[in-house]
Amino acid sequence: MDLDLERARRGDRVGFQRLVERHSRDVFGVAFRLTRNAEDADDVVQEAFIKAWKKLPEFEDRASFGSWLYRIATNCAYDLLRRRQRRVSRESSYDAAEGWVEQIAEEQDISPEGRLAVHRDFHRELESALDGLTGAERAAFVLRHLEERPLAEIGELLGLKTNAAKQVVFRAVRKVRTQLQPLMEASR
Amino acid sequence: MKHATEDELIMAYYQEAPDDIEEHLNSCTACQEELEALRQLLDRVRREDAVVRSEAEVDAAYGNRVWQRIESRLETRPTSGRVSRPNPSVRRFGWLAATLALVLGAYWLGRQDVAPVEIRVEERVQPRPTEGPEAGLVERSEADAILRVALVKHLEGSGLLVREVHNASAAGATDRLPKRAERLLATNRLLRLAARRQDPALDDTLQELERWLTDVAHLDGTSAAFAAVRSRMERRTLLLEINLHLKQLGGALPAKPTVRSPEGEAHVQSV
Ligand SMILES: [Zn+2]
Repeated sequence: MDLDLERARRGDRVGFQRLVERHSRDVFGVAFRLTRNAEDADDVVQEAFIKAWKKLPEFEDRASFGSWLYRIATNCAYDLLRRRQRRVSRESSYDAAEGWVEQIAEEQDISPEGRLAVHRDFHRELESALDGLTGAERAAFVLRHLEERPLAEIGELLGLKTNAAKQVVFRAVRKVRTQLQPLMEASR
Repeated sequence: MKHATEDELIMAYYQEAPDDIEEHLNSCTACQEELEALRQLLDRVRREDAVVRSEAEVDAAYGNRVWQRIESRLETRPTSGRVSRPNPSVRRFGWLAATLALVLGAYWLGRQDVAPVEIRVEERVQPRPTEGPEAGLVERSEADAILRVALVKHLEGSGLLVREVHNASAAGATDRLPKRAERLLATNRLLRLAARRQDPALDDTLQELERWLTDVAHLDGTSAAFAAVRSRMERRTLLLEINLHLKQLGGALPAKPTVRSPEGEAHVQSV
């Protein structure tokens, strides 16, 4: 068994420090994918390790520490996405699926044709599409499509049965597609 | 047969479509084109994300920076991982603690003003022989209680000093503070001997406290030395750590002093 892990489990901070140093970059990776910005990802990384420290006594040998930590981190990120979502839905009246594209277009009085020109950039449009998803949809989409996690695990994170989690993935893919398809056609 | 729905196409993309859908896809050009369009889009999303991810790559020292930021925020956790009785961090000290507690009790009685806390220590220590074969032998539970009192007393004293340094000025800080730091430093070293092996979290705080107390003991009235002392205690949120341990030990810092402003509003001094 991992010596650092064994020490950390017994409450040794030096052992835990080594685990933090070894796993931070990986945790940042998934946190960044889910939150889409470095600052939030950084918050998630810190929160995940603080939680991990608290929960370490419950950690069981048969799991790998990396995947255990991964789940804690995705949970933290999902919490953050949900908090964000609540804030966004309170603050704005525009259709969340359209995201900031619509808002900016409206503010600057840009025609539908002009919108495509403004947001020609696929990258920005993708971020906008992901922004328009609910927290659950974004988590489901990122974990399924980008992290290639099994549906059962995604369901566990979202607190849903596997089949319900699948429906959330469908919904997310449909929304992303609706927003990105015009760009695909324009670039053809 | 009907054409595949969008959800069925998505399933096919992830290679999760049922057999009958797969069969249809093999024979229907329209659905194949739809699936191909979906594939191009979703594959492009993956490529786009890979670029974004690589731009956000963190360097090798990232883990260390994370540690610097969370270290002081980790709550103290009993080293055994199991909490069955109150004050677990004290109960584990055992016989080493018993001996040390006697030393500490004697130390305090000799050096400090007798406050209610010390009287309790005295009552516990005095009936025990201080010389002869039974010297140093006290019951474990009693030793735990004494050490708990010792720790609480020490952390309270240190916490108050942190608070005072926070509210002091560079010039004013040389008056009595270095002397008090020196006294606390001596106790701190003894307590660390007890905490070192049994409670890493507490030892960690005491270790940092020791560095800080050393700095305070050497304050010379210059603003640079004072700034260093302030920055050390703020970087590690020392007071917060002290409070956490105090809470675990069943103690607490006295309430913050409140001052009345001319408007009659009560202001709590910061820290
Ligand atoms: Zn078809």
